[in-house]
Amino acid sequence: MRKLKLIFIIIIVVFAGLWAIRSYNERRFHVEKETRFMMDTYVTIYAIGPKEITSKAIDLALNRIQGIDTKFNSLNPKSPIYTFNHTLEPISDKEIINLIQTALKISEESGGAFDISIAPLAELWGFYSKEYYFPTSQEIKDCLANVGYQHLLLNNGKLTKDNMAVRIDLGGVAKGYAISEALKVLKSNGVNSALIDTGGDIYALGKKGSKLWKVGIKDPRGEGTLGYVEVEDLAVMGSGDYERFFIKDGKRYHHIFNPKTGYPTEGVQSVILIYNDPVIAQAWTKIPFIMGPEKGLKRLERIPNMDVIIITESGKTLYSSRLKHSLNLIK
Amino acid sequence: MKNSLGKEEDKNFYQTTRFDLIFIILILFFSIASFWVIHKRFQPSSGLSTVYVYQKDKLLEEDGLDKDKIITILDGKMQFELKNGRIRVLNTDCPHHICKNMGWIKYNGETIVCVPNQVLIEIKSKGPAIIDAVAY
Repeated sequence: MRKLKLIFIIIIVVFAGLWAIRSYNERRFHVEKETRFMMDTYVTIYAIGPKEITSKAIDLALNRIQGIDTKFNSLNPKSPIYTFNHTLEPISDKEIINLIQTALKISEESGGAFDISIAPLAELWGFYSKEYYFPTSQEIKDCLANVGYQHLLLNNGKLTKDNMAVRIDLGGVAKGYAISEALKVLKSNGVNSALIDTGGDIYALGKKGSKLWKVGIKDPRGEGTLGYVEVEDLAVMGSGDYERFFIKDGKRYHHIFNPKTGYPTEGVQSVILIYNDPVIAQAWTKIPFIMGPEKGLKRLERIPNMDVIIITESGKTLYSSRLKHSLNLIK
Repeated sequence: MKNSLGKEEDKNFYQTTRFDLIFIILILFFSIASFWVIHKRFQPSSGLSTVYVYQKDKLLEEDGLDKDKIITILDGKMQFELKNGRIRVLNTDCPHHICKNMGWIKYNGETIVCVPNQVLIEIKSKGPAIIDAVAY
């Protein structure tokens, strides 16, 4: 009888212990999530950890992204970039200058394929007004006279331009910057496991519990995803010709321009890039569109630890050598 | 009373007590509960998917993905098509039609967003997500 009592007590204690562990893990692995509409898209942050920590950290991180959106949006009259685009007043805001410095460095490294001064082209083709327009070759030629990062001069912490019509758009790096800043906020507020999704540009911080985060790769023409990659402390950034485009005479005209021709690029449907720095990653996603798939792939493979998936116009998938074996197919 | 080996048998040895009963009931309860929890946790996500349509944070529509139907929201500003376990934006009044260009989604965790209308379409399943987010 005593033995049975003892077994009974042991069982109760074991189950109570298991229950306590489960409750602790539920708290530890609680998934908090919030979505806000900003940066001309949606931003969702998932964070894993105790609710009181993750909830506050997500709120602060989203506020930080909101602040960046206001400051870096060239269409917002309150932004110093808007003032720069519409007057001859230089930009002297330190935070903006730092990002412009990074962008100009990438422009040089990519031989002008990446260029923040394509704003007049995007405007001409109606991608800002949301009323698409097919310009004449003369209009494109005139517009190109004001396109090119050589028109920008960065000196003593100030950005100036050589003529009034030169305009910049930091959309090619702003999401990456917003992600990197949100990461800082999350980390400084005790979050070390999170996923930031800014309209298809992703950053995976740490692990999802004991597993890696699974990020799907959208099929640019078909439905669903081509497969997924499993990542930790990496950005998975994408660019595609399927987001903002119009069709004229059966041909697709999208929002990624070749700064040398003034026309939307041809030959690539989408680029997915995996890298630890979201700012660098976002900027380089445009390169294969402008250089072409094969040349673009070769150029990106020269950057250490950068992985890339390129879907060509004909639907062929090109991978950087390391990535080929780590893409998990779910089709 | 002696048994076949000639030893004296304790009459109370095999007698079931209250503790035995409680013990058996507890074992049975925890076995069934464990089976139920494991079964729920590892149930495959397919077949249980639900689509949620939000505007800002307000839930406008909730449907099982096993249905074939057309969903209309915002007084006809947006229409979605549910067919063969997937969903897409069929019609929208937004200027760029980015949401429509996203095409069909079907996996747990996949989303379509219409920024001008501030609409979020999300697929959720009870099972573990195949993917956590989609890069594009």
